[in-house]
Amino acid sequence: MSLDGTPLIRIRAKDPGFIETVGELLVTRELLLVLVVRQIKMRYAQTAFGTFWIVIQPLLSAVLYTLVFGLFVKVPTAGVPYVLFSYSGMVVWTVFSQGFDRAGISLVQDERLITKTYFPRLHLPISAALSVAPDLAISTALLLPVAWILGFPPQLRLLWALPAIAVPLLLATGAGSLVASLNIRWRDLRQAAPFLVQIFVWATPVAYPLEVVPGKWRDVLLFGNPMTAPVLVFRHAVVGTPLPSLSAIWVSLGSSLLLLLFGTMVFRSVEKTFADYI
Amino acid sequence: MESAISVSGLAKRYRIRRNANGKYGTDLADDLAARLVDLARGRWRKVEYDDFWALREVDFHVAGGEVLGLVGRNGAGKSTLLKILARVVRPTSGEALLRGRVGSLLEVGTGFHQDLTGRENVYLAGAILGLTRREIQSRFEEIVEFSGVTKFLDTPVKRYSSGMYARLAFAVAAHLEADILLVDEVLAVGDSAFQRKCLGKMGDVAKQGRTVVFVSHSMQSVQSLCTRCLWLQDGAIRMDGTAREVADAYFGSNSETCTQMTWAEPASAPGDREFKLRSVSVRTSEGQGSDEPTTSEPIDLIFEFWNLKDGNPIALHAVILSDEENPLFRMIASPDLPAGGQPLAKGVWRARCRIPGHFLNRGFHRVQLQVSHGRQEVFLTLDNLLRFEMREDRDDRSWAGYWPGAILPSLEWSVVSA
Repeated sequence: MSLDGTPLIRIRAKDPGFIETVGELLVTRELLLVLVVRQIKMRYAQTAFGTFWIVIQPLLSAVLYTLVFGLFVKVPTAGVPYVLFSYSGMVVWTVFSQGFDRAGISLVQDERLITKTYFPRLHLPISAALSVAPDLAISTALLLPVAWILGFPPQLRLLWALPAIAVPLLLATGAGSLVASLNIRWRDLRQAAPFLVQIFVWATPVAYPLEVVPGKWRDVLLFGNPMTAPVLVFRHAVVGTPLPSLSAIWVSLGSSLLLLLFGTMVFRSVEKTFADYI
Repeated sequence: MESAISVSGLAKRYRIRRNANGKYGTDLADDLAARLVDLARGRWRKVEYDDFWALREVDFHVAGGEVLGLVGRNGAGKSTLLKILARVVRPTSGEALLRGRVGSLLEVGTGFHQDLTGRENVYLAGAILGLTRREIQSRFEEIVEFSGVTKFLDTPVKRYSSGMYARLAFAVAAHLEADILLVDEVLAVGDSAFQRKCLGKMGDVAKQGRTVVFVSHSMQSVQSLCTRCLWLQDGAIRMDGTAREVADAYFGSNSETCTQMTWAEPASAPGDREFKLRSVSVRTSEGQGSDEPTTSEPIDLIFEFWNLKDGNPIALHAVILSDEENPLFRMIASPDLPAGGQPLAKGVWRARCRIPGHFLNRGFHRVQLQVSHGRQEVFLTLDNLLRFEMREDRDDRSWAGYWPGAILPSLEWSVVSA
């Protein structure tokens, strides 16, 4: 801004500073909301069963897990019906996997916006990750009544669900920004990223309780995988399984923030070349 | 008065990466494989680039309220300059300062999404172009009225005709609340009535004291809109003056011709979501293009295009203009022919239009292409595709002077004693 209040735009080769970038994101927050709405509308504009798909994906996985682990292998779940056990984990996991997936392709998908108009580019992966909100709302709206019917009425511990959802969103935005910016140069990543996520789900106690994992591996999963704590915390919020240790929660939150910082830093450093490469 | 735009030493370099086998492109797998092979042989090869300077240290200032036209041939750097000012592309060096809210219109329909309705797109695209929600709400009626698509507001825009789509998109953009408006060739849409309406709207914007930078292939629209004009050549400013002065110099000095243009892929080719031009050329019907056309021989205009929509009733209009860009005549294929409005299958098509000998006069001519659906309104106009010179025929025994006139047809006379 110049002295008399008219905006002053300075165009240079140099990258804008970190504070400048964050400031710009905050000033243009209305656009972020618009982009989130646009993402959601785009996604469900032409699908007759829009909401149906939101519910069916995690539910189908949960049913599959129920067959394999609940009926065939009979994994112990400390008195929680297996369907509820795995679906509650799946709801949190889907926030991450869907958010990451959408953020990762956000730049390639909206290349026309990037080559034809200016706005803070980081809004694209952020809005893509946040666009999982309706999916989350609908799957939670299904989960809670089912839990109640199966004997787990909502309690005050449900508040734990909020931090349990925040962490996967941070992770999805961080990892998504990283993949999105690399995707511009190397489209191969677009194939590889969802595949890695598929593998990653087995390193997270979604389908099985952490207790069945042998001793030292348990710590690897708990401290090495930032998605472990959110799944356990969310499950605690819904069905009251034990919380992980506080240190595990902090490590998960801390590493998510670090990944967010790293992802957005990479994004910012290659951002200037987006329009040149697309 | 303080300048609205000050540009100093602005330059942009594009690096085209040469990969392992000396070809261009960035195929990660090939690239990595070639590097591993090299590494195994104990060599480390540096990445090689070819530099291309799209813009070389440009300096200029634009006062508030000025309407600046940017002209020049393809590849002269005018679009790059506009993209830098619009902050879509980052400069390699130099600086530009813009005072005020900037609105950029680099294409028609930025932020539009096929699956969303007209109403949704007005809100979303408006916000992406920089309008606040309140601004869009207060102008919604005005925007819709300007576009003339009121009846179809709740229809997804993919069902719109190209003309409707362009009108709605331009209407959103035309109501931007910007102090500085950057406009690139967006007028090349719609029929000529709508083009006039758009030009009029831009004129209004200028009268409100806002600053406009306008890139165009058409010297005529620059002359009718702009108070000042920059002529770019090879990334540098060749001339800076009034639109009149620059137009005179531009037409006077220019003996260069452009008899062929080709685009490698639809993504970079001019056109819209239904139609992309692949190549355009002018050839003497005898040879393979190298010969200078002479007034006595027929010439062929050849257009190759990608039809991106199956069953699209594409009709091509080749428009021949004088060098001063006055339209001379228009050629449309007969409606029972492909490219005259018959539905075309998806794919690449080639259309040829023959201009007979003893018809065009000597001198430079320009070619414009317009596209419509059958006999409906024109939805796409591609300006200044070619510029070719008709020469006098050396073998022609007739008097070799220059007869003024746009055309010089050989018509039949009969004289009888009365």
